[in-house]
Amino acid sequence: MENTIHNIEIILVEDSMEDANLVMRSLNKNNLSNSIIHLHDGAEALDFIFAKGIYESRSMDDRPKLILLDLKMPKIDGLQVLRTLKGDERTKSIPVVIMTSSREDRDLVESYKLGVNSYVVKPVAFENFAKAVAELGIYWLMVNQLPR
Amino acid sequence: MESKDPVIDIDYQKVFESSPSLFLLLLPNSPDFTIIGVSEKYLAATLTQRNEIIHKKLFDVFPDNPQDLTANGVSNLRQSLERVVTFKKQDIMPTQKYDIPLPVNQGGGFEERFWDPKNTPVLNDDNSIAYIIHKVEDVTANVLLQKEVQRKSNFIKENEDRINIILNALLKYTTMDFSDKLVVSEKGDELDAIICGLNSLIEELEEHTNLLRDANNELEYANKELDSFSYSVSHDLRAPLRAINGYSQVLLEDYGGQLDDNGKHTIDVIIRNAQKMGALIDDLLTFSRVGKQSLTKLALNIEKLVGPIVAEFTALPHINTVEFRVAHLENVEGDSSMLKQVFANLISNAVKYSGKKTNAIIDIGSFKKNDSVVYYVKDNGTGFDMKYYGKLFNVFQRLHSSYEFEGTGVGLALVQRIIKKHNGEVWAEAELEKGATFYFSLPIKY
Repeated sequence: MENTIHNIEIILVEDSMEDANLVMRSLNKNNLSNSIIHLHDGAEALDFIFAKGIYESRSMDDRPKLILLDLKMPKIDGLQVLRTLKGDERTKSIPVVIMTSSREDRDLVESYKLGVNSYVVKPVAFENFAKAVAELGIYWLMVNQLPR
Repeated sequence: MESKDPVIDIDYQKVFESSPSLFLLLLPNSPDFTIIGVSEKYLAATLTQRNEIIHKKLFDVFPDNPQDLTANGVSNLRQSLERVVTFKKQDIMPTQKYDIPLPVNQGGGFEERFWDPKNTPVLNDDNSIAYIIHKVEDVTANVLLQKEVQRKSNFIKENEDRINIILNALLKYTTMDFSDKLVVSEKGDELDAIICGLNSLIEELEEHTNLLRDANNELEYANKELDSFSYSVSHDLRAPLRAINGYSQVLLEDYGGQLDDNGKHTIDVIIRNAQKMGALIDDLLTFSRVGKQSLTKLALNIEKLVGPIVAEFTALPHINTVEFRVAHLENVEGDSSMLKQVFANLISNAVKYSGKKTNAIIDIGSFKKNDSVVYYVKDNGTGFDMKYYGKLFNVFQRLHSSYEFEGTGVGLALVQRIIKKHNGEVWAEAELEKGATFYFSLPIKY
């Protein structure tokens, strides 16, 4: 993670430090955590992805392979981030996985309308949570093929 | 002095012409009936001038309204005059519609008028007819009033049933005693009174509607609050639980070596309880969601709906000892995902409370009763004491300790909520240590 803000493969947008640590621990266990960055809210996520603000030294061409996005966050929430990403030609094809505590149908429906690639409800049970994170990490980073 | 009537030279023509009634003096020269005298009142009422009609044939100056094809004033009058000539007696005619021609300076055409005519012969000494006095009374105002009253009364008669139905229906929604208000006022008639009554009702209804709208707005607001509350519960309550659970797991994985069995057991208890609370939150959210959800009713094949649920339970490793016996299941209309939940909850209960037995049997079946289909799930397990039956379907109520049987106490409450939403009933029979049967009925047609 200390290998700077370039060559980031996974962006984790999550306001809960605890959840973020559990996600990274699970990815780590599956050797998927070499190039992950944890951002704390939607505003920071958009700055990073679009190389603005404190991240303006980044190049937008360094596209992440996966964005893990929490829904309920301060400032700009997950649905807004998703709307922005899927509405922009430059970021449209980056896979976005919503990871949320919410089982509310309206969130699920709205996310799919906006073009989310996958929607995961974070289980309370740790084992299931770890398994879910590992599986989606493996799928989106190793199995899934992105357009060049 | 010889008493002698004062000789007064009476101008009878003047008297006739000034009389306060409508008179024509006619010659009995059928069919002309020439007009030889007319009172001023007659001229005024018929909008005619003396010189226009005097010495003219009656029906030349007063023809039927050519625009009124049903006009029969002329022939009626002629017949009456003929009768007078023949019988030499007064002839009273019923009310006649006879439209009078308007002078050109009043727009021409005809004006609708109604008359009560009387034709009286003036006889000579030899009993021959000298003249005929044609007297008419203009009753147009009366006739029009009668017609209006008739029209209104017909309206009421034709609509009586409907008005009564409306009034009775409205009465249910109002506390107003409007029997007082339906009196016939001095100027208005019954219809006006009804309209007044209806107006008051409408006013009151508007008031009620406003109250209802306010209450509805409040409800909507409360519902929205509840919605964001359950959203918040769904999201915010589960997040810390996940942290408790996850970090306990981390503790166990990373520092398990430094803990003795007692320490590890303590962490297990924390994890298990966090998970239980997670299950509780999930159940509660499902329960509240079912309350809000609207039904999507379809004709369902219940056997196809129940089959996979039973198969799922049969596949569970520790269920081997339970024997499922599924009888023929009637089809019914309902919300498939909700009814799936009902069967799943009842079957899961049956499995839970009989699974500890060696020869557990679960019967699933249905029968028709009146206009409903009744389904049942019967087990031969622990059962429950019927004296606690009243608490059975209450949310968070349990008739067994969680030490004996795990559970959140939401399952049966959810079953009841779903069945009630389908206008059905749910009930149960049980005996301690012998088993329980849960029934629910669904109406065949909604």
